[in-house]
Amino acid sequence: MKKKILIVEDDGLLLNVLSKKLEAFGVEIFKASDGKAGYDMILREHPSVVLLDLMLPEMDGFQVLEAIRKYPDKEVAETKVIVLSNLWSAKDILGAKALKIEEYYVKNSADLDEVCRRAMALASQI
Amino acid sequence: MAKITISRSRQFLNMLTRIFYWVFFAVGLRGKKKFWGVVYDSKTKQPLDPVIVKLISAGDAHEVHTCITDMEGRYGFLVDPGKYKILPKRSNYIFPSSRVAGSEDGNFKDIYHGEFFEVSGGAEVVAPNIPMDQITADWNQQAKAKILKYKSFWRTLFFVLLTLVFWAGFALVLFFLFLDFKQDLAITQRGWFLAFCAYLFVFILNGIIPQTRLWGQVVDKNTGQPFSNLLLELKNPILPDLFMARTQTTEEGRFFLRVNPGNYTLEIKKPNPEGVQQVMGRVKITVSAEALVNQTLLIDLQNSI
Repeated sequence: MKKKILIVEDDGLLLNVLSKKLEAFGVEIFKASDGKAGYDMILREHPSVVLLDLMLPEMDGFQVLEAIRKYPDKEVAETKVIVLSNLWSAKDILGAKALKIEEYYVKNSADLDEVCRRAMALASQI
Repeated sequence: MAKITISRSRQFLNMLTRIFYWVFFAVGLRGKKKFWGVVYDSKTKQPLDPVIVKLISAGDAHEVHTCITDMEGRYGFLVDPGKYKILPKRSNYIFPSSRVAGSEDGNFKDIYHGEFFEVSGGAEVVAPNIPMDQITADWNQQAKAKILKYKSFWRTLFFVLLTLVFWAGFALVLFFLFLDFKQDLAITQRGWFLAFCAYLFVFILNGIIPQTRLWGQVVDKNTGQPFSNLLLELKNPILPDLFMARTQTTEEGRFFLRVNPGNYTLEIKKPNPEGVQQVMGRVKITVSAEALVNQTLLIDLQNSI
């Protein structure tokens, strides 16, 4: 069965760039452009890994993380999440890490290929 | 691990150019945003993020570098001599801007419109300011406006007033000098002449003092030889497993490393014969308002720690 990766990113261009890079690995890609749609997709599709932005409409990335970590279904609550955000302060990063994320990448210094490779490595662990 | 220090002479020079930059900027002699390029909204002048900025080689049209702007729209490339063009891409925005046509746009100087440009001499930092036109509503920009504190009205007003006072003063000095000259007074013995000389001195200084260097360099402390192809990772001391910025040195040992102001640990790595990156050493770095690392780092291979 194909691994599922969900990308939650409100910037359409970046969403498509990440999506194309991940598709090359042969995984099934799901896309959401706001936090609420992303959260609903996590509950519905149970992706192996979620690539999550933090500044999002409807629900921000922190709210999505809090909601899934509190979710009664263990599979949802333990979803592996990689944060890809331009928020760079220690407060934001530590805040996200406290919500049990796997990795935090700052967009402006991240190598997107490396982000995708990390997502694939995490997905293959499941 | 090798001992790594920061060149004190370069640090002093950086401090000097920084001080003079702000003095010259305050009186309107130098433009803003010289340290980085900024991609911004041509109408609101707010910085744009995330923008995917590509540097394209004119020869074979291949992507030389790609980067993503930070929250303040900043980006930059350290490039070898050659002919290039820059291509910024952002959802809901188009480039080139039809709203901003000239080479200046208010505080933004060195405006880029999509033309090819040439870099000659050694590796240099390329970072013109790029306006983009919004074509559809953008949630991200509206939300960011609430988070980021853009240059306040009072701060802008302060700089505008300072600039006005400086230039009005210069006009006044010229006017009274002219009056003295017309009345056949010994102008060299008048206060206006001294004021004119002071202005002249500031103008000459502005011409002499170089712009802040935008790149840093890694050299051997003992031989002065540059280190090429080193990997530089900037880490926040309280988040040691996460790098905030990463770059590689050029053949001349130069690097361009952009990061927000603060205290960091810079980790320098080099590949071993198997191609695995190994840590050569670490050094503490303080990044000031320019938001870039432009120091000269001296690696002492004869003294390990």
